[in-house]
Amino acid sequence: MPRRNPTNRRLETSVCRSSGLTEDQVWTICSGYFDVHAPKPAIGRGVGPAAAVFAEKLAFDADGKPYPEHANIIGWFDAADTPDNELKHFWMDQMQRIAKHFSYMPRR
Amino acid sequence: MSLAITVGDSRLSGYYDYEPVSHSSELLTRKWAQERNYLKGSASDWFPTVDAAFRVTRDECQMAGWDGQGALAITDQVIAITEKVVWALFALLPKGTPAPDLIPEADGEICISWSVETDRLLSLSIGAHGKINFAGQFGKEGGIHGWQPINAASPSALDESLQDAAKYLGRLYPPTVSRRAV
Repeated sequence: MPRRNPTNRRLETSVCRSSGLTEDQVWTICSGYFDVHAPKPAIGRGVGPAAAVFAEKLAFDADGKPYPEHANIIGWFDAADTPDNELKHFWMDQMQRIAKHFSYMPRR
Repeated sequence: MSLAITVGDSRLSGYYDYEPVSHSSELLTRKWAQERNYLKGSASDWFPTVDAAFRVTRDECQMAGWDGQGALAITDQVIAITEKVVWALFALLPKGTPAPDLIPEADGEICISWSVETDRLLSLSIGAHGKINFAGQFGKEGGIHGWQPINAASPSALDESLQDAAKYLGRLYPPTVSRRAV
């Protein structure tokens, strides 16, 4: 589900580009940038093709921060005069259609 | 077990047409509807799954940042509203409807979700703002999404506002011999 970037109010979903990375490299990134902030370490990850995101007319902003493989999914439906609690169903709908192309991979 | 459920329906069918006229009889009718579907200890019983999920949410998601990514806290108010919605749906739905997954969300809401297959699912997102956001996929039949107001303070108003959600769930779980509308 997207979140609003507090600085520019843009809707973003934080993802890691994993093409070309080994499983160990992916989990090293997770340990260094995710687990250190979370009460418990991640137990698995969702893996899916970028095409599923593009199919929803969304895009990637490969900002490379805080690590080179980081990107944000952007382009989520938005309307300035509508509160987020009346927009959320648009994002849920898009997420459901993207998620069916994703698989769950437990952490080894 | 299926036989017992079927027999129970048949013997009690005369009560289902009863329309409460007073506040107390309405409460009794709601209680009866919940107990009728409860089937404690059976596969139809939502309580163990749902209660465990609420307990974990209370224990692990009531502090801001519980996901390590700046998530809003899941407040007691949101949990209480979600509990009301879950149990109202339990009373409204045909017996045998599977228990939902309860998923804490980063915006401080709780998602009530049923998934039959990757393209057959329904999610309801509950917050403290008096609205339900919902989205569902029904395979080749396409999808639905939207929001609607709810009034969790009034059981009858809550039942009324959940009629559409119950209807959508009927598309995910069509009535069968062992899952019959009551």
